[in-house]
Amino acid sequence: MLTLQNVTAGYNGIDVIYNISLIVKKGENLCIIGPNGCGKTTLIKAISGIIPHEGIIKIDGNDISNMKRVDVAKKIAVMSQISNIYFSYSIYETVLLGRYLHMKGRTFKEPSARDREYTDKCLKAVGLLSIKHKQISTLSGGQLQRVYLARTLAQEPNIILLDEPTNHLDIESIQWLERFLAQSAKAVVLVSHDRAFINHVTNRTIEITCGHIEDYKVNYDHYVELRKERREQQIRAYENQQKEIADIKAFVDRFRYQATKAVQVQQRIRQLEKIVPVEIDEMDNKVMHLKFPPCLRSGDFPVICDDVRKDYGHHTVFDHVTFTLRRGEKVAFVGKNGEGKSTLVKCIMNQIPFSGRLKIGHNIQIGYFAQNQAQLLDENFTIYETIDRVATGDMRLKINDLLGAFMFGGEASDKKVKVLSGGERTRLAMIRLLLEPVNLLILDEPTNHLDIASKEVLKKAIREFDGTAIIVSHDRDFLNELVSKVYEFGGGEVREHMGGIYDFLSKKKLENLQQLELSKSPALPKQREKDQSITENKLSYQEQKEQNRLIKRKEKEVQEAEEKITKLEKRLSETEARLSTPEGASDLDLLQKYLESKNKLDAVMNNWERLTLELDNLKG
Amino acid sequence: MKTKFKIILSIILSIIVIMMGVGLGSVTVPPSHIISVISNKIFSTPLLPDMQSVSISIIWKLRLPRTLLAFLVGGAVAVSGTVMQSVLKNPLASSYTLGVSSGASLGAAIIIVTGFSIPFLGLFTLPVVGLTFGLLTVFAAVKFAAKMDKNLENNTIILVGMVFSLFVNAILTLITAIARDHLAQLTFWQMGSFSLKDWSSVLILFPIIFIGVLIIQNYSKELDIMTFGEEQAFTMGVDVHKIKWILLGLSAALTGSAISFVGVIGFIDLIAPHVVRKIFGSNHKTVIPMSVIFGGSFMVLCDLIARTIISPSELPVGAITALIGAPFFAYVYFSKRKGL
Repeated sequence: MLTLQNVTAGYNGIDVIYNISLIVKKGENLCIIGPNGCGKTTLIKAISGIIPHEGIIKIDGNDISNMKRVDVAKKIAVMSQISNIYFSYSIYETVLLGRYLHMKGRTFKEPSARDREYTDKCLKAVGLLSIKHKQISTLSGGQLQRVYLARTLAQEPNIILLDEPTNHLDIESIQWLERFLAQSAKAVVLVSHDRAFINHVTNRTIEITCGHIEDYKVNYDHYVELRKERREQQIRAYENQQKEIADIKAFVDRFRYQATKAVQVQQRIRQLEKIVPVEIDEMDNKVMHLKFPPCLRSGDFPVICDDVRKDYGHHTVFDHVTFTLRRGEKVAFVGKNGEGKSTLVKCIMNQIPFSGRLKIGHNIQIGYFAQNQAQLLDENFTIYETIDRVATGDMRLKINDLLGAFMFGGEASDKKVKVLSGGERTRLAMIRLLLEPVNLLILDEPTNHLDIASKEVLKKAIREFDGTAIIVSHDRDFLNELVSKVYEFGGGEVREHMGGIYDFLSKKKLENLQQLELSKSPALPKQREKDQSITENKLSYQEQKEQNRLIKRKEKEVQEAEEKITKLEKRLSETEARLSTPEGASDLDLLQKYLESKNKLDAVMNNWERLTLELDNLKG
Repeated sequence: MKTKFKIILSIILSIIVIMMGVGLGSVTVPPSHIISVISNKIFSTPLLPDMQSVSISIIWKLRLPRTLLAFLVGGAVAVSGTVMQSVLKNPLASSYTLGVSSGASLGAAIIIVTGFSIPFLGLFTLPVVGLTFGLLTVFAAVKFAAKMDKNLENNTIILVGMVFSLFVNAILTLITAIARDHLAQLTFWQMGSFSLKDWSSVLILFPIIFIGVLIIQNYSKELDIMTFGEEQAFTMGVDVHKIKWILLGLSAALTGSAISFVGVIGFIDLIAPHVVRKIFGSNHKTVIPMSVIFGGSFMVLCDLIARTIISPSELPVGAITALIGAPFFAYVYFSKRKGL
């Protein structure tokens, strides 16, 4: 469906990705991962045609460079990140604009009855049909993201591209989007750092390192395992090869000056030249080092809220908020967008007025990371200047160390802020937290745009931090094993839940199971109907029996496929071993055979994957 | 529908304003007379019995063409302002930002000072040269911006446009300084006026503006989409580059042809889109025709004030629009700042 051949792309003449080749098939859900600034967004932009590329990108066999924009947009739709709204439209109008490409060619591009119908369908799919006349400027981030999703669907594309769709979504919306994308029959290509999210949605993982890609036909968790294995294999192969080379070299050196061995020496030298060095994937192993400086001991209760209330005009954001944080506690603020998490944080920071009593403990120094901190950086300063401007006293001497620890060492510190990727900006903004010792950290969505590795580092640092921390986040994986208390914002109340995030979520699920059933998103027109019918709960006895038989049969097929795979793999590794010997390396037939059986293995693998998927579906 | 009601109401209001424009002045004419004269001239129906020939010529020869011209010019600059704001995604942008007015002024100044006249064009030499200069300035500015910045980013266009505008203005100042004899004439041209305009200007401007607005109306969907940002528009199937050129060119041509007839009249292009969006929402399908109606009516009103307030002498209409426009400009600017 989508084919990339040797695609190279970048900005302002500097290539970020090189020679990428990739084939995306129908119904596949791809995830593109990699460290910040490695070119994930670049790849998405190249595919959607926003930035120019070299090489060939084809959709259904047509080169997109020769296609009209309208025709490309009929095949590929990009779910946009939330942007500034200059002029407000109603939800319905906004989604109807997605139908533009189907209206072109008509006088004044009047929408037809079908356009209106389809728009309603898309609105229904994202659950916004009831408020379709609301203006989009009044929506929360999560709702707006849904509007954009509906607009994307209205294009009727075959492929949906999503760049960090979960950044502004609350946990409930993320889970909803997860189900939605996993069920959709369209191909999905997404960039995300939300581990739990990509695990649920995607079945293929594309890793970008140093501008190149590695293709893994499994979801993220499996990918991590495979990645490790693969690397170990490469290292072993590399070591073997090195040993071999050393042997040959030793032989050559020893007999170089012996006339009797001249022929053999020549032969060995030629052999040496022929060896193709085994490459170990370069890994961007760089991760930032982050450790919060030890802090002054604060009072026992850093924050005490007593009956805090906040109104915006007639709208009460929350009321009767009462809680106490103990020193050293790490807590999470979760809840839907627009329920007042950031507002409460601002109250604690004393940035906005509120009513009620809110006491900040003795000796408290707050380190605050605002939600849009990364966006507030001045684009025209270099990285060094940005930090230099805010650092004071002794810290000024440590700027370079700090920049190094945050992977901005050396020449990178002269980069201007405007060329940084989203994740790099977040990292830069975070350095400011370290410039002064603090004992109460307030982080408002700190993980937006951060890659998985950096997130892990941040998580570890917060866990080791000896002060108190309040974290506003929607990232389940990040909050897991980090916080001991969850404050849920919703319906104008703030409720305290003891335990970690997954405890909270499972509790939530129990409470809301009935509601969930009711609010289940209605099926999209193109969803796989088969899946739907099978997951029907009320299966009759006959059907159940039938299904059990099916499951048994599938299980057998899967088993057979697995056996086949092991056999093939064994044969493959044998051939590989022979290939890596000097004699084998020059044997073309052997290579041919190797490639053939590799192809065969791929085919069987695919088959097995399909079968297991089917089996999973059957089991519900 | 609510919107339909609002549209009908605005059309009625605009007709009332036009009637006022024609009827009020040193000699006040009742609406019945105006209608009678119009239908007499167009359908040859008999005139009302009690009408004097003086008021007939005042209506037909002076006030009606003047009012209609004001309406056309107001409508043209308002639509052009709407398009510029949407395309450049900047609530303070207008064709003037890109140098249409300074270009046209320069062209007009050259003609006024040299007294040069192109054969066949005669009296229309001034508007034609003015329009040509105005368009050339915009074209040069956008072309230069495209050269500087391959992506043709909006901020680049605005900045380059301003630079060009200032540069051309400087030349204009030089010419004004050298040609002292024409100082008054030049200054008055730059303030704009509808006095002494007859039907010929209306008949020339009408088809240009009508067709221009119609073409822009045909791009209303693209305009809607482009307000969401160019990357989004691109992925939704809009050929952003091409359409940007077309729309910028069209709106520059609209403003250019309008002001080359009557001189530089500012601020309506800035105010009209904001007011119309406040009332009718952002949908360009309604915003564009409503801009014509609002801009036109507003211009007729301003002209009415300009010629009646210290009658019998006349104020330059550009000054009136600016007097009302400047505070509005400030209001929009500061209320936007507060919102951030």
